[in-house]
Amino acid sequence: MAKKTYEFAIDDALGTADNLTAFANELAGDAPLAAALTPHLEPLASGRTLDSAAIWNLLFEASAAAVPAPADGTDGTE
Amino acid sequence: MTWLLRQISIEGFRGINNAGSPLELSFHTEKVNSVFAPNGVGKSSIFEAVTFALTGAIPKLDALPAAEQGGSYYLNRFHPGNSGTITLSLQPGQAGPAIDVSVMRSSAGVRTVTVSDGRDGEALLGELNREFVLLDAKTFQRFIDDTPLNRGRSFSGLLGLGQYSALRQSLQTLANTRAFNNHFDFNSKNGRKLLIEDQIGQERAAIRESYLHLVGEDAGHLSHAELQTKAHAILYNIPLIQPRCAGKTFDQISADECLVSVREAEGGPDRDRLAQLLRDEDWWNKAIAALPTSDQVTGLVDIARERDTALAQTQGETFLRLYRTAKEITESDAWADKSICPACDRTGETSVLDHARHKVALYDAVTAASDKLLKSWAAADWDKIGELEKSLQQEGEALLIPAAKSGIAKQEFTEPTAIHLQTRVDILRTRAASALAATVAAKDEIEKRLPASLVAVTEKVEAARRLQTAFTKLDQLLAALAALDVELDRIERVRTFLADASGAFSQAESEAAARRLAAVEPLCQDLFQNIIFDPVVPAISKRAGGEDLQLSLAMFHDHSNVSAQSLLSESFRNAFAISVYLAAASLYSGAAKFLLLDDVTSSLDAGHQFHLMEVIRTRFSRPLTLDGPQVILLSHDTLLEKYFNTNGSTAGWSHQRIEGTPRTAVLPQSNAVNRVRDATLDLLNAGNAQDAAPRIRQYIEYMLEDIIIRCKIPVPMDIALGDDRRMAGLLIGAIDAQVRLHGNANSLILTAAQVQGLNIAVATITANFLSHWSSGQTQAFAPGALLGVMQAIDNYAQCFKFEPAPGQGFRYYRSLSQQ
Repeated sequence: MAKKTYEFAIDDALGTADNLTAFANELAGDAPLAAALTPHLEPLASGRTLDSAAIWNLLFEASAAAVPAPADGTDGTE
Repeated sequence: MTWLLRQISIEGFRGINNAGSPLELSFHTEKVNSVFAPNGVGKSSIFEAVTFALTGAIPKLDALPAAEQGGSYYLNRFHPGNSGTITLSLQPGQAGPAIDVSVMRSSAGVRTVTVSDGRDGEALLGELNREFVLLDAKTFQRFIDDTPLNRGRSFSGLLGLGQYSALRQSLQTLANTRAFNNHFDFNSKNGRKLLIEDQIGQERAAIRESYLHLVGEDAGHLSHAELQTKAHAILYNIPLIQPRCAGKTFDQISADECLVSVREAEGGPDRDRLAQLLRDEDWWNKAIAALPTSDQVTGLVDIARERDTALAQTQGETFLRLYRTAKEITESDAWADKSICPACDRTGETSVLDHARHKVALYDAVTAASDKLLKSWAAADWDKIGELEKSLQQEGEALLIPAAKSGIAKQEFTEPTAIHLQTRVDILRTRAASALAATVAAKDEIEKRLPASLVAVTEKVEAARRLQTAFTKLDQLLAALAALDVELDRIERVRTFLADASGAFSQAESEAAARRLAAVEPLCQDLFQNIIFDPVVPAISKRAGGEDLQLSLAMFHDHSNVSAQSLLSESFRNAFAISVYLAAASLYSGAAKFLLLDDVTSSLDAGHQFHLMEVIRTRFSRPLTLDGPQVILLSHDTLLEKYFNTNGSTAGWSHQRIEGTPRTAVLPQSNAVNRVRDATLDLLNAGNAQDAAPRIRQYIEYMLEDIIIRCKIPVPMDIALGDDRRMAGLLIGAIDAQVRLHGNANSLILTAAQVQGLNIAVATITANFLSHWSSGQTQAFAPGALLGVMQAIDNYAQCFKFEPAPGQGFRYYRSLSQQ
């Protein structure tokens, strides 16, 4: 199983859009899933109705792509 | 980008009719703005119009019972256009052109937003809709009285973390294990995996059994390829069927074709019958093997009983909501005594929290048992058992397996159903064993009749067929298992991704909230101190990782760390909330750089009202606070209006008063006095005295107050604070008293002709308007007489003016004793 640990700080000096971009970049440790979730961050932060099923399905489709190899050279599994 | 509010224009909405002539309230972007309106004139309608523009709703109307049809009261009932329009003119906080955002609501409730520069209006209004933009007394009261959790969520918005809070909640919803598992049918898939693994074991056993039967030796550790080579050799070495095997791999050999060769060699129906019986024997063996073990069925009964027991201890969905709410309330730190019931306020002998937790846990037990049932069911091959039941069904006997499958899926599978199923499985086992025995007996009988050599060939061919089938099924099962493993791994990957993302964001938000809270608290304390001037220090706190916001008093005279809700008076509680909101708005305002405050001083006495206004003027709002928010104050408080009037004449403050009625129009008294006059004359010329009368009041009061201010005529305090139908008469009386005083003292600047003109004008105004107006006898008004009153008002004002030199125009005397 892929092991991903994200460390993310909301910067007081940044606006929401910048922080969401920073958050999305942080998630890019699993790039395929991050790419699928990123377009939904802004709508979700705007409090729009959450269609969990649609997002889960998109993430599942994205998980067809291989788990990216970790940058530190370890095998990335647990 | 930040925005200031330059003007509001309203027509046809709530208490503002203004058909064809919208109420236009202009605001100074670099001043404190105040708007005064007597009761019933439309002040709250202005607040509600902006609320609707920003949020798309008016909560107090939407909260009405359905029978009240609150939605039909958004629009003004007297407006002829069946629509309401609100236009916000916004000025960028930095350089840039102003824009108009128009929000229209039709009688069908359809909302349309357009922006003068074509941008997305709803998106812009959404950005402006921050928690501190529209503030009234209820907002502050709610903030104090709300649960710590709800207060904490409001506070996130105040800190500019509203969107972060929304995203965190969304991520938490996405990472919710139970909902996630249900969506992906995770438990069933795991159960199916167990079943496939079990079936793989069965097929491997079938391969060993068939191989032994065909080849006559144990499969040992040979690979499948080696097994197939040896099996092929056995068939190939039987002369009768050798032509059927030549040039083919083992899996390409057709058992049916081999049996044709046997039939051709011997002939007769017994050969076909024997082959069929051999296949039947194989089918019965597999069907019996698919039956669940006694332990499995007993386990199913036990889980069904466990679920029934758990379900019997619950009381339905309504009670589940009740227990969850009670648990949430009593878990809060603010609920100090856990033995007090939040519903009835009674104190029990045991902990309400423990009771609520126990009750919620009972519902959790039902859910857990349902999940166990699902998984346990998926672990057996019930489709195969269903086939067995159907093939053994006796006349008048209902099929139980399909019904049980449906019951499991619908969570209606009870212990009696499970016991019934258990009995049926036992019966099926017995019947299948009998059927197998009959098949074997029939096979033995035929084998005795046929030549032994052909019997042996037929048995080898049927063993080969079984071996082929087992290899094929094994391949299919292995492929299915591999696909399922990939699917489960992907599901787990998504789950891990969401859980980690949600956790990371949640922690970041919590840390940001803590930092911002630490910045807001001292400013809040400073503002509170400058409103209250008592040795009371408010404190706000949030536990790490939690959403609850606790209010307390760091100091209350010589007591420290005590309850704010318990000790503070209503006015001080509101001052606490106001301080929190203003402090948060000071530090974390977003796109909206303006605030509308509607009657926020209603719980404060005069002294504290003035303190609050001074805090807003000197410590919070622009222009004295550089880059501070633009403040717009709405009030009906006549005492506060005097403060507004005083400041209205200074550089940093702009004040205006509105007058009117919901039936006709609401207009600003100052800049629009000529519009009031023109509109009144139009109504009177059209013969409409009823609608003109309130405007005459507006016009006359404006003119009299203008004379008093410009000529510096002192008036008694009770008149200054008055605001009723007798107001105009009292103002005329006050002016008349001062004119007589100066006349008696020989210091009056007015000419004799002007004094005479005053008396004539007053007689007309009083006889034809005030005497009826002040007593409410408005049906006595005649349009012609009221036209005379309008002229008399202008004549009256003219008596306090002089022309310095011919052609220079008239101006007011500086006082009653000097030009």
